[in-house]
Amino acid sequence: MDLLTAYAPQLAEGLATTLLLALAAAGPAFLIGIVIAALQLSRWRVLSVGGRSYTALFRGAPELLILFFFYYGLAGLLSWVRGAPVAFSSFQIAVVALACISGAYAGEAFRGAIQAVAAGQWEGAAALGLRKPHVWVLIILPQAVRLALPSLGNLLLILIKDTALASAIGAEELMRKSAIAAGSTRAPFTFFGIAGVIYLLITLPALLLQDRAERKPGRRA
Amino acid sequence: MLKSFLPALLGAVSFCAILQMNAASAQSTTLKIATEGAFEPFNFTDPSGAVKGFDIDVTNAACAKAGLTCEWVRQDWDGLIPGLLAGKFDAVSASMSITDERKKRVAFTAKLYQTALRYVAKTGAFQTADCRHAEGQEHRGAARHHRGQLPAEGRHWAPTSNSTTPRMPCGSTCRPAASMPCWPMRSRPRAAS
Repeated sequence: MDLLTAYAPQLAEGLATTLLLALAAAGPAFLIGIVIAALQLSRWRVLSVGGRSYTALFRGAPELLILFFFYYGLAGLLSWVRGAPVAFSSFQIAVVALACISGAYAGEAFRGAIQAVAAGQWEGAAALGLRKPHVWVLIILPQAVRLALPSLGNLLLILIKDTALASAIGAEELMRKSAIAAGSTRAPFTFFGIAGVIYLLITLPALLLQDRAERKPGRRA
Repeated sequence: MLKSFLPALLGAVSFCAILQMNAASAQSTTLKIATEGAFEPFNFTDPSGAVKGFDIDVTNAACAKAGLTCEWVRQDWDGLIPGLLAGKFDAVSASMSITDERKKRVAFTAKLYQTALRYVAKTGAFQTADCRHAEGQEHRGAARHHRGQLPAEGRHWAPTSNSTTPRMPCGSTCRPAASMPCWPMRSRPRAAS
């Protein structure tokens, strides 16, 4: 218990980093998801193949591998292209990698949701003489987002847990801070145990959000 | 890391700091030095978040002597060498064993210290008082991915072909009689990795 008190500030720092990581990645992931879904549903072959390749890549490759690739490979590649060293922190890399990964899953959620919007909505919008961008922004997306909410809640939950992977590239979030405290004090059960409880507590809001969203999936605007 | 198992003194493993200056930062007098920060007492993190330990003290002393400013960064163990190669930091000081395999990619300083690995077993795990294998008895060991596990792998522990007596390193604490077969620790062939 004394150990826990001593390392509490360290764990708190880790928790803050975990939450920041999840929040920073969630926004871009949401946008990537919409773009990828739109690309996949595009009538132009190049775009739809591009969208589907992105999804296949980021859903198919292990998350940890993607993180390693971004952290150790991407910076080197960019440095080589630029001819000058480009340095990214583990935190920055983790945000980008997690956003790309979650974006791929969000893309699938949005694609399903967009396709679930009744065909009559498209036809009605066309009958009103709305232009394509307006149809998307005013008619389809507001309904699709609502339909996608349950799966997005699930994705947020997974994203929060996936931030733990960032510990492998040295980002000092909750998991890494716990491992450091465990290694420094030789009390792994204490620190990993408390980390587990903290993860449960922070994923709870996402769970509740998902529950709520699922209870009223078809609510009209 | 240095978790070993089963009885008997195993062998000497040398540890040292890797120092590979990355060309870009060799000119600057500030060095970024990476350590694991979770391997007490060699390098660990205190409640304030600062790294402490043997590796830190020795390296800081070397930095002071060389007139360098050394800045510590923590990195997960598995990311130490990749991070060094990717230029994330200039050197590593984390009680890393010098191995031929690692020497292919990184330059080591002279060794800082040497440790012995021991097998650890539950009391009574060996059925005979003199640590001999009983007929048909099988032992299974476990080790984390530390270089120290290499000499611990099967072939060094396997009973000799025509007896049930295990071969152990000379000088082993669990080698009750001088007549028991053993091999000199230093000339033992390096385990292939």
